[in-house]
Amino acid sequence: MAKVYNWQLGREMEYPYAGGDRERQFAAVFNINRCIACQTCTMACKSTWTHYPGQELMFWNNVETKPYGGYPRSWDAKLLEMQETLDPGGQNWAGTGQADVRSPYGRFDGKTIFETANGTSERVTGYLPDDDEWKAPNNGEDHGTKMGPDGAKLPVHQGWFFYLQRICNHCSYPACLAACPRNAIYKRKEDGIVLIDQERCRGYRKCVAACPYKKSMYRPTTRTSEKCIACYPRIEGQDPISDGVPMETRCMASCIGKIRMQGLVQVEADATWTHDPRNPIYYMVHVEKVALPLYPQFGTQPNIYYIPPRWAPREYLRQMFGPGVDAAIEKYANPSRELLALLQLFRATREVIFAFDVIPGPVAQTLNVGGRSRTIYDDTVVGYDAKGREVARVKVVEPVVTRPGSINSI
Amino acid sequence: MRTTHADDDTRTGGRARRWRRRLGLVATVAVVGAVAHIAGFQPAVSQLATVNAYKADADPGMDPSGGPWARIPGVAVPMTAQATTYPFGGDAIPAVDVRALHYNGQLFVRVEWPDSSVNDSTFGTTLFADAAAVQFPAATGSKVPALCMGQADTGVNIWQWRADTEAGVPQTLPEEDPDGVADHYPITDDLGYPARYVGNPFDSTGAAQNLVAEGFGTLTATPEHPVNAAGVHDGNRWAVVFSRAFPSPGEGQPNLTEGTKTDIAVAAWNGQHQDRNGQKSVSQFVSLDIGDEPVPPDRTPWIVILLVGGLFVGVIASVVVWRITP
Ligand code: SF4
Ligand code: SF4
Repeated sequence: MAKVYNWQLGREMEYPYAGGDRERQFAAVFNINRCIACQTCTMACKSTWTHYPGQELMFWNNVETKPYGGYPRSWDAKLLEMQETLDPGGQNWAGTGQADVRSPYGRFDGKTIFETANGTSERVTGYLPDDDEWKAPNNGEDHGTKMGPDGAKLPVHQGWFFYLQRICNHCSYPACLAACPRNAIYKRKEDGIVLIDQERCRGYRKCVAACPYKKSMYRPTTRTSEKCIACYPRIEGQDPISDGVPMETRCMASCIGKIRMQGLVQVEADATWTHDPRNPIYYMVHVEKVALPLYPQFGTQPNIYYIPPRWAPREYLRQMFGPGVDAAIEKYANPSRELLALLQLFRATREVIFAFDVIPGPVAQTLNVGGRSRTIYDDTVVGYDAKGREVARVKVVEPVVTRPGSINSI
Repeated sequence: MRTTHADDDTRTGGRARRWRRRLGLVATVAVVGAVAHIAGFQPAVSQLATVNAYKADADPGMDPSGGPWARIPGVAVPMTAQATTYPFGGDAIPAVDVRALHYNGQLFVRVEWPDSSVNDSTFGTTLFADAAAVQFPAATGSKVPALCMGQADTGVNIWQWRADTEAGVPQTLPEEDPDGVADHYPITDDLGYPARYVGNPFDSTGAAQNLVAEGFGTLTATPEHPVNAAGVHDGNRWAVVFSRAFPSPGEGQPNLTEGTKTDIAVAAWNGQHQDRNGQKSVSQFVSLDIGDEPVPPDRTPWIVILLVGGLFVGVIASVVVWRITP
């Protein structure tokens, strides 16, 4: 096992391979607070990549209802339990965050899925779900916890659920890659996308068992495993309509709730992020720390970052997103001028935004939120593509357009 | 003429004795290996057992049951769990019975092992197939390659048979499961099967794969399919016949001929135990001699004649004795 640096854990960890060349990393921010579980993203992916025989149960993108739902069923609860059994009482965070890119959430002192596998016959702790467990992308849809007699009120609802949007995390230390005895899985240095070589795969399903997020799936008609490919032709700018610049994936670009923004961030050799506060993903993850990785304690350094739901119990959210949850919710509930403006850029364009600027505007409104006074400014946010061209310009205050009665016909 | 039959309790006289023998053999292999390692030479474990490839006078075909196979001695080759590389495991198969023949420039190897369950479908995430493979050094020289996939300068050639490929891989959900429903597949061209599109041998239909390797993780299927394989399950055991023409079909594959002395190792997977890749039962290398000794003739007719004749003579004698007895 090599030693690699995992900034989400704030420490070195064991991984079968030493870090390779890295230039850029595919990453995205999902704002859980906005999702309506319409599954448009799920269908955008399915109708593009997985509608062939043998892919019937395969959803590279799915949206599930927490806390009870899961695709495959109880994937996270099962692995959390396995980890707890193998590292009893040890799955804890400690130390204070140094508030820098090397340890923004403090230090995880427990064992990762690579470390709990030490001394076993496998490289990664995991399990292989059976086909029944994969049967629904959102089983138990909208099932919440029991509502209290007083209804639901912020800051934490008594009866609650939320939607969790899931794709492959194109992890910096992929468990799928670590477990493959065939060297059939590789991570591209130019964008960090993790792919299964369909020529080398022999269907051993070690990646299916190892991926903590269960985003590598088995296809019985080709007897190989397949996974999310991050719509790599779009990321490469191969789509004719993108004029050669990276374009967001299908699931991102189709999002009805405008919850998703995808980007490419510059990374160092040790997989930490190069300082780049004009990059919207970098800004949300490292400057504001409003978006957090999903189950960082598993140790794969996943690259989909979530703005946690304001209304769910904090303890549950801390288990899911780590110790940064309280600060992230505070940032989201009381955003800075820049963050509020940046949130308007979600889904304003299909091109990947590499940089953004905020142009200050006048005071639009003064509000009282939770006993605190807040001023909203009508700032303008501008997004730029890979070539530095302006691709989106949005104002914080949405313009109101009144249609004349004469054309007000349905 | 069967001299050994690894898992047949009645024939070998009980489980305990069989295990003792197997343990003894494994221990011998380990000691010889260790001494060889310390002495710094490559262990030609070959001395421990030799599989003779007998010369057949008729085409044995691909049927592993009966025919010439019943007339040549089997060699019991002990198996252990693969324990050299991740993932470890697979000790479900204690030993295999190996026999070999050649006919008209073609080598036939037959491998038989106990397995009470047939696992011939991989149409499900948790379904794994029964399988077997034989491995040869890439070149029939003196140096024996590392057992697990060989090494950079000394590769191996592997012939693998899988029960699922032989049974046929269903192509749609309804084909596999009569209750399965698929409304419509809008497009079914090869582009929708990336593995097939790029020529992954796992997506082909032949029961045998011919693979070459020069170390862990380098196992690669050859584009040509020079190896045949066929398996039969009799309710308790699998028997599989592999065959290939003598001349080397390409790089990394041994050139064989009558008179060739090389090595052979066996691997077997029990799908019921979710065996796959490194999770398998493996043997050491044993010697393989492709000689000119003919397959012993089929003596069954003579035995029948002798038995019937003996019975006849006995009956006559009894009658005579009975008649002349006062
Ligand atoms: S989410 Fe799973 S499949 Fe995707 S890169 Fe990480 S370990 Fe691999
Ligand atoms: S399209 Fe957007 S809003 Fe709809 S389910 Fe997907 S992530 Fe949620």
